[in-house]
Amino acid sequence: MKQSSSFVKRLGFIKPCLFKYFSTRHKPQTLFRRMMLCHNTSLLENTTDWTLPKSAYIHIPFCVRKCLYCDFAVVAGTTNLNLYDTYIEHLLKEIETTLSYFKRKYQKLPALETLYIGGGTPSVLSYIHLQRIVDKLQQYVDFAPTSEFTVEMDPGTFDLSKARQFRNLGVNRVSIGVQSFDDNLLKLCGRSHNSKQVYMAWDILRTAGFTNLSLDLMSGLPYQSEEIFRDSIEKAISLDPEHLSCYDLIIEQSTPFGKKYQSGVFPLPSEDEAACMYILASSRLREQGYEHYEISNYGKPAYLSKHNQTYWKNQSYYGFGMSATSYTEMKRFTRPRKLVSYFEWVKQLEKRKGELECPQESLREQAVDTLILGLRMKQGISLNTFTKLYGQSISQLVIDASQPWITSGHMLEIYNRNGQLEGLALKDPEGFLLQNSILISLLEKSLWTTNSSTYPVTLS
Amino acid sequence: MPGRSLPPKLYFYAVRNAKKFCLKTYGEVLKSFRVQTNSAASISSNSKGSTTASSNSQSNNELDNNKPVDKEFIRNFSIIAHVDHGKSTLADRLLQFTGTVAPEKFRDQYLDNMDIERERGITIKMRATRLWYRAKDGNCYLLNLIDTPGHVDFSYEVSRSLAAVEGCLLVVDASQGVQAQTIANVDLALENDLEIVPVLNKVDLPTAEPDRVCQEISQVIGIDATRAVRASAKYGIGVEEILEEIVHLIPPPKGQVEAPLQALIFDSYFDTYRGVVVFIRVKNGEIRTGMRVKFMTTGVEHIVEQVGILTPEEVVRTSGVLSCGEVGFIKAGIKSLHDAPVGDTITCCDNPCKEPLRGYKPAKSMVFCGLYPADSSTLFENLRAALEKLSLNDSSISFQPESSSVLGKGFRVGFLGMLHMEVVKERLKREYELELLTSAPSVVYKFRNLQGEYFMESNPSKIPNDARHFEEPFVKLDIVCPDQYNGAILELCQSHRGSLEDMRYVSNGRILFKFLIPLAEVLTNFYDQVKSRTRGFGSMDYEFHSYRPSDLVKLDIAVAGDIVEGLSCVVHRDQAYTKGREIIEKLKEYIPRHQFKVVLQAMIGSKVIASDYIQALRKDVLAKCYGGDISRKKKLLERQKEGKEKLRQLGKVRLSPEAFAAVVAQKF
Repeated sequence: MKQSSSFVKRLGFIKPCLFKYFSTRHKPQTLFRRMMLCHNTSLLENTTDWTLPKSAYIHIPFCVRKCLYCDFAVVAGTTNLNLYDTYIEHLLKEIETTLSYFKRKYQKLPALETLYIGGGTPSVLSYIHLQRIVDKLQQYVDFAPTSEFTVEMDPGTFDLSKARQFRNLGVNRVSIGVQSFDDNLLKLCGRSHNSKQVYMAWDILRTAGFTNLSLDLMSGLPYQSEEIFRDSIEKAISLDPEHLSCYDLIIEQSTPFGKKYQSGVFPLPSEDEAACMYILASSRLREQGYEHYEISNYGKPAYLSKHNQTYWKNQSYYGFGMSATSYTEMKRFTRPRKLVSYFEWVKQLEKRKGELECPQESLREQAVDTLILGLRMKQGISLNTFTKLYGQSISQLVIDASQPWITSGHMLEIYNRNGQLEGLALKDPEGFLLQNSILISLLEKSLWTTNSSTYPVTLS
Repeated sequence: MPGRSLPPKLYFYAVRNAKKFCLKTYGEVLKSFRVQTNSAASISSNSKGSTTASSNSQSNNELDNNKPVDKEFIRNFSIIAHVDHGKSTLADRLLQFTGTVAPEKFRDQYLDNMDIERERGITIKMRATRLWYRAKDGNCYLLNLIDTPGHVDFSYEVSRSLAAVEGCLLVVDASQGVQAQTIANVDLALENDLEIVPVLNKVDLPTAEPDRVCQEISQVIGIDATRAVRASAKYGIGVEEILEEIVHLIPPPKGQVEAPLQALIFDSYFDTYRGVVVFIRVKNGEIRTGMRVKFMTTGVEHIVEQVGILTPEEVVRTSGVLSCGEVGFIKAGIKSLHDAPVGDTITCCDNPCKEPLRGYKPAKSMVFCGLYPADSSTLFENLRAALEKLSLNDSSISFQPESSSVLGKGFRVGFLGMLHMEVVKERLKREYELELLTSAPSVVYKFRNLQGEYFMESNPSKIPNDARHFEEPFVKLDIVCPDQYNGAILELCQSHRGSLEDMRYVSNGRILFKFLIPLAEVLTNFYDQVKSRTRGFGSMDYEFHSYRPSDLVKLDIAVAGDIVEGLSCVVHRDQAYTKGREIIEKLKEYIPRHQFKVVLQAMIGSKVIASDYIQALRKDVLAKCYGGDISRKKKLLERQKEGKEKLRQLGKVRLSPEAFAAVVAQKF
């Protein structure tokens, strides 16, 4: 406890500057200077509010049908509207309980900068459902004026009027699950739509007035050749989305794909072929003016996903709904993955008056998270911040451990104007492709090898 | 009487069905069979008495295990046969027929009591037992059966046990005929001047050709086989005839009770509570408790504490005497098997014999391999303890500590042959619960260095690069197979550097080949190849011949630029490329991708003769990581790391323990 309270104080003067650093879109050099400037002023700011989330994730588990590669917590094929209602009731109850707990504890909650409704397929909900959710949130927190409000929508699950209604509720960003423009592949993956419906959905959203659209693509699908993937990328580019996510297929054992296919073995592309697809996406999209700001994410300069960046910067966020994860008060908690147990859990939460029964992450775990998540981003991790949070010696260990990777061309060192080492990042695409290997070797030589009892906290 | 009226063929089926459907009644069926044959005999000889033990004809030394038996009524014999020709089954029938083992205690392969022996159906350690048999002449005979191991690895032990008897049963499968091991065993028997009693086994098989096999025996082995008993050990047919033949053909033991003590050690084993138990055949004189005896080749002296016989259980003789011609055991407070080696002669200190019995040889290891604990070095001491214990029981194992940069600390262990090696490994695994890694088996090479000094070494990685004038052990290899496969066999042996010494017909359509071939060539799956090239009809046997010069080279394997010493091997110059390719292919299959390109090279000295490479790792990344994936991702990394910790180092590269075992510790 002692450690954690001193820790909160310590973070108190770092966090605000961190936030400013992250919320602006400038080159790292200028950012770091800015950070140094605001460093002094930050000491004066209130210390309690920084752990409070400014982002929220809401999970809607319903889907038309479950894709064959998907291992999310999903309730597929239900048209029973009563079930939707029951779920929404519980979801609202959870939001209410949680936020009133925070309100009681901290009096004033910061405005939401980002709200992300994901799933499942949130677009199967009616506008009434969505409105209730938004209203409930607004009872407790404000939406910041520049807030990013994303909803995941799948082709074939909405029409123009629904799109307009969503937009009227404040949705200003839509992530649309396309996955591929090849009809055979879509069928093979068990998607509920074809490429024609993708174009229709796209037109609907543009007509409804959305100016920030994100499009999901997948590489590494069974029987997918580089040609087919290139074709999908070109078609995606021709739609001129503001943001693109390109995922290399992960084969999960519990899914039908997991039972049918083996990673790297035909009909799945070999390791080399999958790597080629990744490199293809990276080079083609960057050429097109998209910033490759995270391993699988590309965006036009002003349209990087603010919500997802809170994850990668290891900032706190609310999570509501079945299987959703929240990171509040240093507690990382994942909700039950089954409807019934989620309902039960909400009832328990009410009894506990909104407090989560979950241990806080230790400083070591936080450091590991920061490293794992930070190195997913093009901007990498800031050594200044890292040192201040977790100590000089750990920071030095990480720097030392990254040397072989820098030599081999997988990592980059970021220097400031004075020639001081400011940050570490993975190189695109070589470093991104080997992220796991690199992380393991860094962690082995820094955070994993150090015995927790002798954890070097140098800050006093 | 049941079955008496049945024609013989039907009778076989009756017995077979009885066995199949009701195992308990097998003994009864057998008994009825005995009665039937006995009565048939009594009818034919028109005599009145039956041959059961209850009759009151001349009772000599009948059934008294405690007293020494008159030499004239002792018959000492062994059974020799090719593997699977039914030796152990015949021994079982003899035990049952003579009532040596109570029916309720009986189990198959009674004389093999090691688990491994029973599972594999082979005999490794010999057992001895005495059988009482009342012959048709009315006398009761004491038959001492010394079972012998059947495999070529143990041929020395076979020859020692043959030295302890006056005759042997030569069991030949009536359908398979004379095989390579039959010939080798007969040679051993003839060396020991034994009376050979041929037995044609498995005459019940539809494919049996007893006449042809008789002819083969006469032709190849040169003994008259016309009188050979036609038997089926499986169904107990011909057992009595065999016993009669033993009594009549095998001479009683020679030797004199008055002469100085001369006893041959044909086996010994170590018992944790009783020390070394020595199995002996008294050749001359007699041995008593309290006697001070000397082991002639080792020179060790001990006082005999116990004397006993084998029934086959060890039974202590209260009379304390084991006389000339008898087979039994002694216990004399001996601490180590090495003090009482098989083949040695025991004599009395007070009245010693002039010279030991001939034929003693110290056990010599022919095949060596490195044994290493599979995981940590803490198991090294366990392995040492296990090997020490095992060598108490098996004096033919030799071992010395060895350390390898790849495999860690372990032992270089010498074995009599491949089967012996497998059995020892299996016993270490089973009896001592040790997980082991094994380096490829090799023979002992002789070579000279630049200074011209001679060295002998079995570990290829210890052979210096300047080694030259290699010599390697050659064996005499006998192969018997149907003549349609002679091309395949000749080709096989030629490709294994064998030279044909002799080739002759065993009988119509079956050929005996004699080759001289390097031992190293027959070590790995040669036997399997003989079997597969002859569709199972070929058989082989080999025996050490001599050291001969060979054009050998040391082949090194470099992984990512470093020579990995555990992968070095000695090969013939002509085979170097093929072998190098083979190893590289295997490495390529098992070594996972690394962050760098891994170059694999096979080299002689500094000259690269074959090379290949493994592509660098291309993709190792989790595409998705959002709010809900963070804990999962962390776990995934931790799992990957744990997997990595288990990896074994091979120079600069790392690979999983399974792959490591497959690459370094070659399976055979």
